[in-house]
Amino acid sequence: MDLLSNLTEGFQAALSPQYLLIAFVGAVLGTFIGVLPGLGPSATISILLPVVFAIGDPVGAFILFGGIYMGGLYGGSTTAILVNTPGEPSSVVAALDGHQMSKKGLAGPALAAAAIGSFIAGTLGTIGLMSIAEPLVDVALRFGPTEYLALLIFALTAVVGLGGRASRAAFSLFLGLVIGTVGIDFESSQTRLTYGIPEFFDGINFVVAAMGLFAISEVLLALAAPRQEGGPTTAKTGRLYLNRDEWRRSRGPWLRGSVLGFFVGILPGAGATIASFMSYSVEKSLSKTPWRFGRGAIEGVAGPEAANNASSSGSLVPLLVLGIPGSATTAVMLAAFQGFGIQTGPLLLRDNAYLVWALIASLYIGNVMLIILNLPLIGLWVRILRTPVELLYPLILVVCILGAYSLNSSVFDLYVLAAFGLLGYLLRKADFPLAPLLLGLILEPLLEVQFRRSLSGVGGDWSIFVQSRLTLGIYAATVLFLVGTFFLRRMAIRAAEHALVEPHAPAEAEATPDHDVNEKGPR
Amino acid sequence: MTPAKRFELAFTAALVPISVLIFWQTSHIGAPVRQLEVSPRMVPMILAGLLVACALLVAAECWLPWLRARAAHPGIEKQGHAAVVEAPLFGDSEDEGVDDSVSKRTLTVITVVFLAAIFALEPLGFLVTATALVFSLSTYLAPRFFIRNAVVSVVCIALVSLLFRELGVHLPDGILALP
Repeated sequence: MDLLSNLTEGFQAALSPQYLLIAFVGAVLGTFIGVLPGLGPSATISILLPVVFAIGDPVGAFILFGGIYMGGLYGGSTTAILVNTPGEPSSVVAALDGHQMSKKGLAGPALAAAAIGSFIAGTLGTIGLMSIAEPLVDVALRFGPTEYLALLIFALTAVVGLGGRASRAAFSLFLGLVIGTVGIDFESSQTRLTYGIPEFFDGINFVVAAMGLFAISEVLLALAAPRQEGGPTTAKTGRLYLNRDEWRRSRGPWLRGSVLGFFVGILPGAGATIASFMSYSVEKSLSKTPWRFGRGAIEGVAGPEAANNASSSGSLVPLLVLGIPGSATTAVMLAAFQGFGIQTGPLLLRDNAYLVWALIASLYIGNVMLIILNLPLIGLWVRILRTPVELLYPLILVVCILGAYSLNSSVFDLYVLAAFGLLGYLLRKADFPLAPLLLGLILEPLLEVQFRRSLSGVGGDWSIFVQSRLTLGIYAATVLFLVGTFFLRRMAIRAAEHALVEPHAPAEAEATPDHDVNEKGPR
Repeated sequence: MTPAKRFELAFTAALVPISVLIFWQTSHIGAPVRQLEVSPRMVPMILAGLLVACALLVAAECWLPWLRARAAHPGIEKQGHAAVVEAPLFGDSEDEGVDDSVSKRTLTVITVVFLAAIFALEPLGFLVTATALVFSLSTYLAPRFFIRNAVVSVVCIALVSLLFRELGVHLPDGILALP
């Protein structure tokens, strides 16, 4: 079978010593940044882009990024459970019950439930990615420019609809799209919004923009915020395995979380945070003992962590199949593809199958590495939280300067870096999401090319946009989606509220001590 | 009014004229020499027009509730004035005011040091500039540990410089360049 032979080739590449080492480095680096609050996979990958361009190996680069992406999710949940400090927004849910378990001396089982759930979800998510990718490519190859444009509009609408406050997300998106028009127009050679600055003729470098928006703004926010003295206090982990009852309780949430997370992850803009909250709400609704949630229910850790991880595989589907990223991290990965001169879109799987299958195989391998890394090295990861921020963040500034300078040996790029850093800081302070801005910046050239291709050859007749049934179908889906996000947003808010509301336990349950509620099972 | 709210109101208000300015600038993008179905200014103007619409929406979402609340409780306006006279310059509580001025000062220092490092990068070189940046910021944020900061700055920058040189990244030598 093609699928198996492709996967075999992918494993042959990914299991080479050089790529195994890179996968390991990515997993460690990803866990490291996942542990640290604030700096996420998107900022880290954007900082590393100049480095990987300098190395010049796209397969190695994407294996590294895959490791960082998944490692970030593992690392975030470790600190969420142990010290109630989620390293990533998607790990907030793990803190709800995970930290409660930790306080009862059950940190080890909580961490094991999270790690095993992430492994299962990552594996199932990767199978899902493999299974869906090739059939979807066949569909996508039938797309013309009008269909592709409609799909891009759908994706950007989804990002706005699901990415925080819709009006602010829309502003960020259009700001990114406008910034994406800066440069020389490819058809007419007319300069656009360059202000006579030659360095702008090729447009704004998205690597510099991504580093400024995510990494520099994070440094400014972190260092300018009031800081607390002393490091976090940690609970002891205890046994790092699950007993029979804990396995039984976790099985269902792992599987449900994996499926839910994968399909939520496919939606542009939805992301791991929404997936984890929805999973928590589902598990709480399905549980016969919902009053245990919020007090140390292992299901409240197992399901969300599985959903979290599966969504990262799901989010790779639109990126690899259509060349449409749905999140900041996949947007930076798209920038990496473009930086290596790799054509993204439906032809990626045909023309660069080796790269894609090596990446997919490395996700499997990365999952195995992460489960091995995370459980025994928990003490080390928690100690990382004690790294003085006054040393860490200035070093991050230096790496950003290095990275931006290395692209063109240009000081001008550093001023652009600073400008985007300040812009990112101001936008974040005013509660504007940054991912739509970066998506707009990266996708504007593609959007404009498809728009122009649609109109060329038909004498500029705009009715071309509504002639194809497939195009009309996609626009109809966009409108339905916009309506649906209103309800989806309310559902997500209710899921978050539901996660935080403690239902009343029956009198007999309250009468019994709950410190071993996971050990003894339901009453 | 908290400093965060004040910032939000000012920022969202500023977005409107900035967006209008961007739209005006896109309308001045030159026409192409030859006839094209899509002129080079069409897409930027459409996008900038939508940007203006979003800026107005965001400003309305932010300002209207605040204005309505003010109009609904005019009595608080006078009390608010008295409270403002007595309260510190930034913020409703003393702690918030102190926190906000500390964070503004820290932000200013970080920005100035960062820009100075960019300016000095090529003349002074990467090693000198980066070491000075890390040492100055870490000592500003944690002055008690200046010896630790100095040692870590020198060691980390040397390691980072070596690593990037091995990766083939060219770094300016500046004043350390061999004659």
